[in-house]
Amino acid sequence: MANRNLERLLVIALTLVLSAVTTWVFRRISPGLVNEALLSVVYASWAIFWFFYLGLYLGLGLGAAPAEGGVQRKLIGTAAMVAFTVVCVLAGITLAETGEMGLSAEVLLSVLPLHWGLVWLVFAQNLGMA
Amino acid sequence: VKYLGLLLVAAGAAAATLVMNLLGWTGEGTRGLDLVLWALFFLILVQLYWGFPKPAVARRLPGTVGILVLALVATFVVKALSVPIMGGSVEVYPFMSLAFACWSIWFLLVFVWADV
Repeated sequence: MANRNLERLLVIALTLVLSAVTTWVFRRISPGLVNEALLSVVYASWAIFWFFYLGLYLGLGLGAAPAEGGVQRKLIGTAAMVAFTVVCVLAGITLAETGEMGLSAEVLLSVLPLHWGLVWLVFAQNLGMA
Repeated sequence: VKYLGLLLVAAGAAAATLVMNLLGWTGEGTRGLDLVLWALFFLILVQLYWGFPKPAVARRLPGTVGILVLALVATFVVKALSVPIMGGSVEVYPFMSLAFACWSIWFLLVFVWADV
């Protein structure tokens, strides 16, 4: 039980660190993406994404041993999630810039990947890749 | 019964957005996003955490209060840390409700995962 609690604390800590790194990366891309007003929203949103991936998709911290072939399925699901996310983000930015929505690509960049990432993670999970 | 669950989610999201609006925590043009995020929060709360259609509200009530208190603390702490980290000013802060909703969803997911 103590080990499980330690594993859970590590997953939560890892989530918060990964969210901080991701937020910092977007700040480095452009300071306008993550300013003082947006920091909390962007950081918490990435925390939702990373927690969903580590805790709910990979199942870390649940104390269950991986099923036979489970690791391979999750790797395929992760690769598919990353690939689909990149395509959707690039397509979204292109459409926003060239379409009639009048949206700035910069505004979208810090929040688009995590939303698409979540969509494709749920999709991969429904296809049995979890 | 299914529709009752959806009604709970919709009512919760509408009430939360209204309260945020009354507190002045929503910004111009973000109310739609506020409503969606609060709907997501109430969907996970009602379906996954409380376990609708047989909700264990009495068992989950302390956890629900804990989630909202932790989220509120995180919202204020990160807001206070934003200026030392990023510079600038947070005197005008139009994303208070969005931040609170995001932190609430994060703590809710942790509580669902850890079965608290």
